Amino acid sequence: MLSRELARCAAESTVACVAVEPTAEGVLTAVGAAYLARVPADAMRLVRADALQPRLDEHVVAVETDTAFAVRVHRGLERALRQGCDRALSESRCPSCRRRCTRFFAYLAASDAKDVPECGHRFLRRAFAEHHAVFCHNSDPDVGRAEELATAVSQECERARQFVRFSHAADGSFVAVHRPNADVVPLVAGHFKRRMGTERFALVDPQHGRVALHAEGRLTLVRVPQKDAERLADSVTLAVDEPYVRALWKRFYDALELPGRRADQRGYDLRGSFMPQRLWAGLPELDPRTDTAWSFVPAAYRGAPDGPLLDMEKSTDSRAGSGTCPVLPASGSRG
Amino acid sequence: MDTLTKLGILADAAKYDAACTSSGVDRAPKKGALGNANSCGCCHSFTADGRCVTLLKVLLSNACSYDCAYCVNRRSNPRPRATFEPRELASLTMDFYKRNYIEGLFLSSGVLGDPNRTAERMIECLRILREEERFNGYIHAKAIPGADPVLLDRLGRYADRLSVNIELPSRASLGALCPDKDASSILHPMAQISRTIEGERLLGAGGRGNKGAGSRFSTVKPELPEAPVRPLLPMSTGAQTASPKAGALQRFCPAGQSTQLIIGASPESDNQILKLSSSLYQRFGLKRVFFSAYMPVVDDSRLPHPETPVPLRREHRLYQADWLMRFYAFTADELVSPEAPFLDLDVDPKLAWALTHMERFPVEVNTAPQAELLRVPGIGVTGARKILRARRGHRLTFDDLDRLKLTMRRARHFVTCNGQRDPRSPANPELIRERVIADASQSTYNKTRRVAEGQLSLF
Repeated sequence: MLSRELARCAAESTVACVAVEPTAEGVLTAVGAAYLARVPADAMRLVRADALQPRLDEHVVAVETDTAFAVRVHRGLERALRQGCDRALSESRCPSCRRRCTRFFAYLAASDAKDVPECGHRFLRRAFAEHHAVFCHNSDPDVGRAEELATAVSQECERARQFVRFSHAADGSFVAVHRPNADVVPLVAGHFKRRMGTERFALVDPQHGRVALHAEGRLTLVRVPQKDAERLADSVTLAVDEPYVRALWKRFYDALELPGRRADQRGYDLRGSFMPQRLWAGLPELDPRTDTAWSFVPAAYRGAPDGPLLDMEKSTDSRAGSGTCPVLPASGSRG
Repeated sequence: MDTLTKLGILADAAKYDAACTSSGVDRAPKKGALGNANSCGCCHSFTADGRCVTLLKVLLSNACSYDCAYCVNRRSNPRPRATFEPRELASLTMDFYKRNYIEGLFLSSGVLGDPNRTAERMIECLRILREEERFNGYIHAKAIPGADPVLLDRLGRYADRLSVNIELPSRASLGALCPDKDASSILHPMAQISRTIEGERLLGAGGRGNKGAGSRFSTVKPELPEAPVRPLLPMSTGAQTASPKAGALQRFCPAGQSTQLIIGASPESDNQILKLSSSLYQRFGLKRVFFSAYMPVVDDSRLPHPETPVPLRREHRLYQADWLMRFYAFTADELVSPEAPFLDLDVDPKLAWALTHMERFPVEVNTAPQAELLRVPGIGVTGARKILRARRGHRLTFDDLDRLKLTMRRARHFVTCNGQRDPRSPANPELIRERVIADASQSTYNKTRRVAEGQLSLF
């Protein structure tokens, strides 16, 4: 159906304004249909369905995402990118770079930029035509823009790995709320699954309506309406130990700062460069309320009665303890 | 003393150790265990002074029995003292790791009584983490100078990286400022770590499909120390330090070893420091040498005046020079000569080198090999790769270089495209030198640091 619509537009010399879901599957569906209809790149323009603004000479064509078809197109993309790649060892696997070339498209499609569908369209066309050599044209405007978007998403994925903060919930699981600039939860959920072992966790992105759930070794990605994701994020009941552990973390963080190296003393702000302020709201170490929000001290952290800091009798160093250390209990006390 | 108070004391005590990475080893998740390791590392936060927070960096105890002049924890310095229980610290590590605050633990300690007792406590903490808590994340441990080699080996079986801090770049300075240490107590452990890592590598550790000596993939099974050579000192609880269990991390120090040098506390020049670094990389196979600008935390006649500004620019330039030696194939003498033994503070070392070797430029970007491209100021490893990739498709112009997002403001003076210079760059090398130095000197960074550092530096 979509292919027939596109073919009709091409036959009438009308540019098709193809409204797609702004996801990798949406773009792949549209581009795959265009190939089946033998529609040239210039005869269509992909736009986000939620930001549709057709030009005067364009005919709007709506695309319903076909995931199975998109997977087939993606496999074709993998085969195309493997051709001409120095590091591809065989038809079926690319072990040395872990399929960085096809992940490139996944990153590109996860961007929130308005021109992602058309940028993805043009990149896919070039990739099918030029194979792996498309990456040599990084100074070309189309490929350069694709690289810019993919790099930005890759950086946002890294920020998610860095700055997601889990909280221990009352039911024993760990919950994190993160608001990234791109739809990165599907791209980083695997990282947290590998990291968290057998722990149950939920990673919620209210901005993109994404939730990653991990329990009993299974990872599930769920799309929810934004309102529901916000409600989920606000409804977490914390475990009794959580405020104290956060206070420990903030105490540690505050203790680390070296004097004489602030931004005004250096001439540039390193923290501002590496840690975007838009993510600070989710960081307990930067919330002044963290210091005083606890009232319960977990048993593991209540501390034993102060024992010897230096064992005077068993030390072989006669100088040990001869300085101004606090008073030491007698030997035999638990240290 | 509760953990919150202890943590404040012991994190503050550890902050002067510059080592900050969680990189160097890839380790897949294990069934029933928590965590993994990624060779690129991960910074989970940044302090107000811009340093990255990737590990729980603490001392096990700051009740040190040594009296090193530069150290805030020296026994003659009055300050609050604390000591973690091994299990307490293990619980803290696990709780922080699960919340994605850290990649692992960085454990050092003051010398609590004597080196062997201190090492035993550290080993006990790591044993609890690895064997009881099944922690599979990253651990960086500091070797205690003077500790028994058997304990050092045991420590290395639990840790991913070991460090022995040299701190001072010469025997003379070490003798003057650290009466309780000598060079052999630092160099012997470094040599032992290096020999053990090399020995395991020769046995196939870390190779494709080979998880390390002693694993079921290894073709040779070396004998791991099952029992101590001589009885270990009992811990204060009476417990003996157990041998590592089968299944615990057995490969020795998969992320290698590192060390730290303090800059500005002693009179050695940058040339001496860089030559020492280069020698350490070659002789002991170090992964990193860290530099820590001396901060006057104690008043001592053997040290710079307490009002001496922290030599941040010098530290920064040394890191840049260290990077150039490791990734750009520069030698120490190329960067700073014995005749002019200090790095230029206003201009970064690569640019400074280029300005004194203008006969090597301009470099033609369409034909130059990677090694030559890497010598161009403004073109780094990533930029060189982009150029090599892009020029496979077509001959590059300056517009292409701009689109590749290289630092063209600097690089344009040192390259040609298709034989043509950038029209925005002067043709005269002297004019290039003047313009580049003026740009560098007028940067906000240099202006701010010149005001902060003044003229008070002693060294």
